[in-house]
Amino acid sequence: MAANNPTGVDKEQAFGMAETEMEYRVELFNRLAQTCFNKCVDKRYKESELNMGENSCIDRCVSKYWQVNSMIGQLLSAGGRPPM
Amino acid sequence: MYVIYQCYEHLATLTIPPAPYCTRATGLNLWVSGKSGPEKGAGMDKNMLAGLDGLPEQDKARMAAMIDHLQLRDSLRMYNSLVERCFNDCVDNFTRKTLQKQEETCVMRCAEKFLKHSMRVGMRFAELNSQAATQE
Repeated sequence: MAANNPTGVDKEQAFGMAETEMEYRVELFNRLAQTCFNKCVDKRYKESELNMGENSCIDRCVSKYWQVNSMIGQLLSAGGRPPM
Repeated sequence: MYVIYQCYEHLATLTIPPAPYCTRATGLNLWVSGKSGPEKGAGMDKNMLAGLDGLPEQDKARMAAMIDHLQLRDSLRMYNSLVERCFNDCVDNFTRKTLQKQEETCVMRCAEKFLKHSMRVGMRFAELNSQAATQE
């Protein structure tokens, strides 16, 4: 991809990639938020604040989810395509 | 606390764009800007987002429009999923047409909790994102 003076086609590709990447990130964030909420927050909703336990759980959950995300990313880019 | 409800009224009337405190709650702002602390000031300067500084004006505008579009879509999606979540968790009784006091309280707490959770996740997400970016 020409960095300084991209041709029309390159630029379009670049925008397309950027949009795809952004959508992927948004999706990642949404799934992460939902998953960690399901795992960490008591559904009885006794109060409107997050308690200390929930806060720690959320931090750790996000960290672990991120690690899983990286692991799988590496696996997919190294091992290649899933069998058809 | 009531800022959050104003945010959803905002979305309910589909006023565009959502106010800064609404987009903050979705975390899209946070990861794109790479900031990990609570946002200060009224809004996000689009030129700071996604490292747009070096680009020509036209491209900046296009990226900014793309980000706006994604933010709006994400806000609306979050709205819908939050409603569904709080409904599923809080409402089980259909002997009456109107919400009971206890159901109302439950829904309020559910919404607030999720929004707070979402902001916290957004902060951590942005931290991890910027860590990953500096490592590459």
